[in-house]
Amino acid sequence: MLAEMTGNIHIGLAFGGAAIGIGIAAAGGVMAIGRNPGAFGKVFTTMLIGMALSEGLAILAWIVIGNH
Amino acid sequence: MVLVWTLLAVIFTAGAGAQAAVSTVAKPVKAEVAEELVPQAAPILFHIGPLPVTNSMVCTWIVAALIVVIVRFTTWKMKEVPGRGQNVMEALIEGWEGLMSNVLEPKVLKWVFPFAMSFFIFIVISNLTDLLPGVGSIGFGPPDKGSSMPFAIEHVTRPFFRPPTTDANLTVAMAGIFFVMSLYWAVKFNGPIGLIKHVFGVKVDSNKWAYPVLLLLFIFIGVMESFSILFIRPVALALRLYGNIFGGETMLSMALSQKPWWFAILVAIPGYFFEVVVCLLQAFVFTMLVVAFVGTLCTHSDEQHGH
Repeated sequence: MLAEMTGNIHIGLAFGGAAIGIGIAAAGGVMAIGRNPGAFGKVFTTMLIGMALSEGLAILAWIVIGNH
Repeated sequence: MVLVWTLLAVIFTAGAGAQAAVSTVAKPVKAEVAEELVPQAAPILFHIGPLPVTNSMVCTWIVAALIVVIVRFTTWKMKEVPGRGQNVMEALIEGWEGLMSNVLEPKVLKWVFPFAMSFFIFIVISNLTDLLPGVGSIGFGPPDKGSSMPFAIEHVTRPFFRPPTTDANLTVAMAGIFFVMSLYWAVKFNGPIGLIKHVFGVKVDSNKWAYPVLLLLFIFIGVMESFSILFIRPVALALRLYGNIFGGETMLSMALSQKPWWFAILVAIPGYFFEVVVCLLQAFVFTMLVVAFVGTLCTHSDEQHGH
């Protein structure tokens, strides 16, 4: 089965890593908001930036290796 | 009023910049995926002089006109006790102002608010055109010889409308505007030397023995951060929006082209609900990231120690 896999596996791996990162960021954000709902704005913004950075790496990988 | 003018400026710059970036970003994919449902490059409908007009540009103009009409209509006669339309607009504006004031200082907020707000309104409306019936499904195509109807086509290859944000040119243009404006604001609110200090400087308290080591460390961090500011942030901003909405459009087309009609409907209905959420969320994320990026550039760390 492994021998038959062709195509954009590397992009899949990159996006899988990004998905894990985004999931961890979201989980941490939800936990933080649950413990301190008053800090929603700050936690949410920081969470979004963290998600954006981890997603940004996947997009970078997609640009660099996806078009070859 | 400032809001409306910024809106107009953003929309028309984005529309004009749309065509320029065709060859660099929306590269047609290779032959192995020839049977794609939604082509990556927007098809050209007609030419105005030398300027080719694609279907996503047409849709951009319609969205822009719609926004101007809605905003002018709901805020035509401002009243002390707001009516329905004015109420919606006021809730939108005040909600966002509250969100942004968490991140930005008041003097920065005064500049960034109309800018980011027009991004939000424009992106929401253009994302939601994705879900309208007829967008992407009515258009030109190869004629169907076997049919007896006068203008019958086999399948649509050049639809009249295409959601503006499924065209990478529009999102790249918007990210370009953000890039220029964020650098302008960074220099405006920090000063050129202050900006260099802000990016490369030591941001923690230290005694004089640890200072050289920390300086070296923070210069390395500054190099990485400037790479992020100059390259990763705008590129990721543009491609995130494009990728999400383009992927959604492709997914819906794929679901609706399944063979037995009841199976297509069964697959497409959850897809539509998912897409409503994605459209709103991506507009929110784009705007919030613009605000947060400008905030990290323009907020001084020594002022953060104060509170």
